[in-house]
Amino acid sequence: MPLTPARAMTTDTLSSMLPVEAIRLGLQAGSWRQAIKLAGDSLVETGSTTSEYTTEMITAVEEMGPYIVIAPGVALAHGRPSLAVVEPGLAWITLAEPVAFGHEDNDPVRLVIAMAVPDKTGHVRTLASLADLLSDPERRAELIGHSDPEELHRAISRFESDRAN
Amino acid sequence: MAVTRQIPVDNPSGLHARPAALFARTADGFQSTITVRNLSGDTSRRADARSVLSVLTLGVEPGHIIEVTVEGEDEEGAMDTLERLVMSGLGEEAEMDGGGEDATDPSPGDDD
Repeated sequence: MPLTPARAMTTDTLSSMLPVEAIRLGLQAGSWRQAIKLAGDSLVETGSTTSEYTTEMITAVEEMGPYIVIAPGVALAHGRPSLAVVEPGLAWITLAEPVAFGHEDNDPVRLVIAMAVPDKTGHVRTLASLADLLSDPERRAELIGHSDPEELHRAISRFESDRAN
Repeated sequence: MAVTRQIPVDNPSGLHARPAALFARTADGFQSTITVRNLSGDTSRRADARSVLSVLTLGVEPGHIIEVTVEGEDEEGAMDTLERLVMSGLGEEAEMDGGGEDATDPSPGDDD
């Protein structure tokens, strides 16, 4: 399966770390574990991680609770840095029906973003970029509402290039 | 009227999602207005301390210094609590989730 060329360094843009093939929209998930698994499968299939990382993302929530639901309807799944990360990458999954993660304020979740960015600096910077992208409620709703992966990818690229100028 | 303090963020992975969430939740427990800047980053960006997303936009890496400003009736207590929280590492002891060059760290760490 062809991958997006030039897989990014970890301080690179969101759109370069998120191949179009890792964007999957309107999926079915019956539980938060299934939702994270879908995001993890995306990372595996685009060459970012091994399936062990999917387990790690689920374990993180089991051990530390649903703190990853950082905005209404949005979960940022990630695991501890490990050899299960082959190269830094992101996945973006939306669900046809939102699922509960158990977060007291931000449930239920419709968008699961999976992050595999093991180095400290890259991880925090990627989080900052994602937070920036998602912090405006209108833009967040608009992004979650996309049904076409190419269009979503373009929207993210546009946001980033606007930000840079 | 209004307290401002600079606080170094020394925990191993900076303010990633979990410590940022803890910081925001703690700030949310007070009445005062609380804002944060990252003096080691884009200093023009001022975040609402109650919002995890807002705090995350600051991109606080290990070794960065944040500036917290608190204004309101409970500002002294709020500032002391937040400063203590940050100085104690925000619940992070060992290399926990989300960051760290040591990819083979076996121990889950002891945070609660």
